[in-house]
Amino acid sequence: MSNHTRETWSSKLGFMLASLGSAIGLGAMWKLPYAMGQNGGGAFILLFILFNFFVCLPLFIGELILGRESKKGTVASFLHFSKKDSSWAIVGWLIVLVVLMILGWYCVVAGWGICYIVLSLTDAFQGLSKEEISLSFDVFRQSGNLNLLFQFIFIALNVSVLLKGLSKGIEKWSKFMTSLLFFMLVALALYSMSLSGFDEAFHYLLYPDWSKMTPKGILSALGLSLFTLSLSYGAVMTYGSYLKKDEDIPKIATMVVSANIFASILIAIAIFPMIFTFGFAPQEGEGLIFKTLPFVFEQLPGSMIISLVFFVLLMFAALTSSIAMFEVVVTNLVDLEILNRRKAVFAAATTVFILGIPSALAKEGSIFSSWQDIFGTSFMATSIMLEDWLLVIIALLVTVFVAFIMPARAREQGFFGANKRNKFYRVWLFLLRTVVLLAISVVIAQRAQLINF
Amino acid sequence: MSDSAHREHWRSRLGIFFATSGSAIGLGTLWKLPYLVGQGGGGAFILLFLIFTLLLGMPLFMAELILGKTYQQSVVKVFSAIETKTDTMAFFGFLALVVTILIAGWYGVVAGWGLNYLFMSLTDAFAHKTAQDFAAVFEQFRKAGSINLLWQAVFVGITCIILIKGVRGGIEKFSKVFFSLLFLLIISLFIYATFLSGFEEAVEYLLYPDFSKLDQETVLAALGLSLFALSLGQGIMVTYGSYLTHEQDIFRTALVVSLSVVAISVIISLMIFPMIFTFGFPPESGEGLLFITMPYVTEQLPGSMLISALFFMLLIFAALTSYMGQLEVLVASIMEMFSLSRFRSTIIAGALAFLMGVPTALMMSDKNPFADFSLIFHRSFLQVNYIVIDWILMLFALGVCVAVGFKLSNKQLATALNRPLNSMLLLSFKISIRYMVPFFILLVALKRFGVC
Repeated sequence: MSNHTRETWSSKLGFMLASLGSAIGLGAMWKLPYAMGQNGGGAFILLFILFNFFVCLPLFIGELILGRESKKGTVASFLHFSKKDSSWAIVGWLIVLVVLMILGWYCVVAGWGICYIVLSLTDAFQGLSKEEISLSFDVFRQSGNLNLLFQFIFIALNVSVLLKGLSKGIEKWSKFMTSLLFFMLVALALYSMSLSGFDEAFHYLLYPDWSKMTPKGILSALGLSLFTLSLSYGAVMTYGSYLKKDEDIPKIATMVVSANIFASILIAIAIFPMIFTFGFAPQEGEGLIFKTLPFVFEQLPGSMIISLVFFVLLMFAALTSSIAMFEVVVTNLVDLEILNRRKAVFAAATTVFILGIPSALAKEGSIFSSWQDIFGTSFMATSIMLEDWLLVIIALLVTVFVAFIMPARAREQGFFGANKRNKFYRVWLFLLRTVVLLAISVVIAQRAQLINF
Repeated sequence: MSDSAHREHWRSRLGIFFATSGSAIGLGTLWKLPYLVGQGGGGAFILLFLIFTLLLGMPLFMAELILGKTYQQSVVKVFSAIETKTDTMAFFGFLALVVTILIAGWYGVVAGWGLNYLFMSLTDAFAHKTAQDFAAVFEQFRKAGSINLLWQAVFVGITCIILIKGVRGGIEKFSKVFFSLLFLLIISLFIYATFLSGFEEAVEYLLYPDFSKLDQETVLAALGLSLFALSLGQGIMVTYGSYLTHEQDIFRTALVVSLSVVAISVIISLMIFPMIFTFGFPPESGEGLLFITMPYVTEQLPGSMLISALFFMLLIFAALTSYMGQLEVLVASIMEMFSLSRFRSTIIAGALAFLMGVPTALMMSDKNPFADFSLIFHRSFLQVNYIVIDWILMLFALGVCVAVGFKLSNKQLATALNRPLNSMLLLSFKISIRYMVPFFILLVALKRFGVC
């Protein structure tokens, strides 16, 4: 609060790399490649691209406008554009809530990544069988203290970046990490292309299987696209609030969305040839990252370096995303004048650490031991399902707000920036009011099991 | 905010309506009332319930509001201000605090179960379970003490966040939002229920007047129900009344709230019973209805996930608007007794309520602090709690009758009611609060003693 003029990104590139870093997170690594293959390869990718441009991009632009035109965090941003004391502020708080819930388990899983960096550095997997490697992950999960330790380290990394503020902290580090991420990704993909499993992976990922293009397949493509850009996490709004007045939002948004699609495909190309080379079935989640891949790396030439590069890449992907989520919480606390930046960072970090404890200790069984019996899934899985609910509802509310509630002047001002008026504005608004709204409603209806194919 | 000269007041009449009816419609309306109505003879019982609510519940409701409005203070201070020479009346103020803490204790826990079940339905944990499975899951859940505590903490936490924002920005605003949502949920689930095959049976069970069932027993049951259906006897309305300005009219509010609460109660019954009748379950009440039968039944219906999620949302909103009132009694009292800020007293009140809930939350777990309780009392901790609470509610209600009927001057009453001294309303109100209401409270009490 000491400086009344809000910090802005020092370069357009900085903003774009930070947004990309925020979009490419754990989900892009362990869920998307699998979904691509399972849902029809090339056909899925085609749909994914289509949805990205006609559903996600309009919403992405909308969130950036909300942020930039209010120059505030999520809560204050909704207040800024609606009547004072309005109930729309609740949407802003919902975003804070969902981000905190996500960060809870996110930092635990990212902590595992750090543990695996150390494991690769010490070459701990040398000569171990598939079963032994998979067992060592289970043992690690059962050791609550170790999980807490790495969770703590990961949160501490976030804190150290966040404390430095926008341009010296978030922008500088996101720029560094996201560029390196791209570099490593390309290197890994090139390496993968030389493996014998590449042909099979290429076929699995890109060969269009049109028979999978059922309504169900289309819906799952839609559902996955909706969350790849870290929409409704508030990260886009928050990063948008640091944009300069004259930046061309539609243009940079299009560039970020395109780069994100490119990166998503690249990740799949980097990962699947490796696992196909050794005859594993395609899979997702913890099992893929922490059981199968460490074994696969061990078999490859230059195993240590490959494994190290991969887990550093994983950590960078997680860190650039978690920083953005932390920033959502911190900006709100600062903009609402509840705490100063320093205190807000520590308050958010403490909350996240506490919220992560049930996930960290889940396998040890020292807390909520009967969760699995009651809910039928783990604490983390329950929490992810609830977050998905909140995210689609937030997406719907944000769309309604941008499309109908916010003053038209602010909307236009945000869309055009320093440019002359053009016809794309009408297209964008039309998409937002029809296609985006419909798409999100369909996703919600499917989640509520109202439509079932 | 600690300056009581600048007391916060309600912004609008609608806000008062939302806050008071929200407080009246709570867990009891969901899990007790429909059963009582059905058992008591349907339509005939509803008629009695309506009459008693207008004749007894409403005057008592007005009396509590009058106390608050006249003294513009929290419940403890109100009662010590009525009788300054001796401290006899002050006792009732503390009674209100005691009963609020007792209720808030279990209420937060049970509302927490609602959260747990909402999240279960949203994560599809209900799928493919038989009625026995649901009973087993509920037992397992009750045994998991830490999970009970978690949801209780979340629920109490949400309430505290609202209360910290004060009367207008917190209670009034959120009552409006939550009560409107609650109303919307009730209506949509009611419309849904009318399409079920069990609807006719439920209508007959609930509305068909069976005068043969109207004996002394059921009349007394209707009486007891209408005394407390408006969330009276806990000081909530005294507290909410203290946020009324001089111009805000008590009679009209009381009339509208009484009628709406009866109407909404009937609609809620007509929403719940068609569902359970469709699957041939007998009418029932209590935890079993909400957390075993309803989850099972909603799971069988078309659109199961949505219906069960909406039902538990309804439960949570109903509980939340009631819990806000209960906790506010504590918050306002702590604020004024110890001259603390609203923020601090909310934290203290929340912590107190949470602690009081711990025995209930851990009742079935291995770590139960009062493991021997049921051996000594032959009832569970929760049941003993209910019984004690009922007694205190009646005692406090009598205290309110005495305070308003005998201690307040006619002039004070006229000012509070915004009516001239010789108006019919004032006269009839005075007669009913002096004689009729205490008489009926005593009747209910004697019934409890087993005298009649």
